[in-house]
Amino acid sequence: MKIYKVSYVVKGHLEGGAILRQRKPPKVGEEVLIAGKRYKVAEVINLMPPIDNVVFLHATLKPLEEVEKEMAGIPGG
Amino acid sequence: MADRELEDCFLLRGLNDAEVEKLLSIAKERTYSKGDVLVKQGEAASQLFVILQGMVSVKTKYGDKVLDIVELGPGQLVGEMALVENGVHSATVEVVETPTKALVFDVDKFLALCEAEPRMGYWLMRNIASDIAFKIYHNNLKMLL
Repeated sequence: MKIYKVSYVVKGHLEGGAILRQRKPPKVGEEVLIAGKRYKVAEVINLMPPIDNVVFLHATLKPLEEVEKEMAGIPGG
Repeated sequence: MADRELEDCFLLRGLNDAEVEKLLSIAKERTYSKGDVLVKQGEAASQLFVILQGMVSVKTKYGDKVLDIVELGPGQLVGEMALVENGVHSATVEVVETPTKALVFDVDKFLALCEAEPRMGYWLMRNIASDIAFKIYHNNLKMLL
């Protein structure tokens, strides 16, 4: 079974982000909860070549509140 | 420890069953609560942690500034940089989820085992290097994005 080691980075934010190991890869558009904050996955790329059954991924996140503001057409969202 | 937690533990990559048993014989499994501090920035390294369950937050302080570097979940290492350098912890690591479980290794025993069992030591150090490389990738992307 594959294991996914994922680097989650919040776009435009130096703070936050996470490194998690999971059984399923993150998918663009899905929501993730990290340290009590909700984010939407904006992009997923391979970070480095797999080693054995471990796949190394990077996922760019956007805070859900920013996504919701954008969808509502609120300036600055 | 649950088989699944062990199976997913990247630190054990390359080790055979006997070596895994030897390594685990010097580890203690501990459970922590939110707010517990695993390591403090500036303190001498004495323990290496493998997070089995839950989440920890890594923070670094420079002067008055505190930066949340990253949250680390299951399978991630804490204290690996200080172990490799044989020095002091570069950040403070605090538990942010209850319960958080970790395998805890005494650094001196861990290094002694690596020296006594070179094949095992090679894989453990290689796996630690890989963990550090991934964290560097992560931080590089944070700077770019």
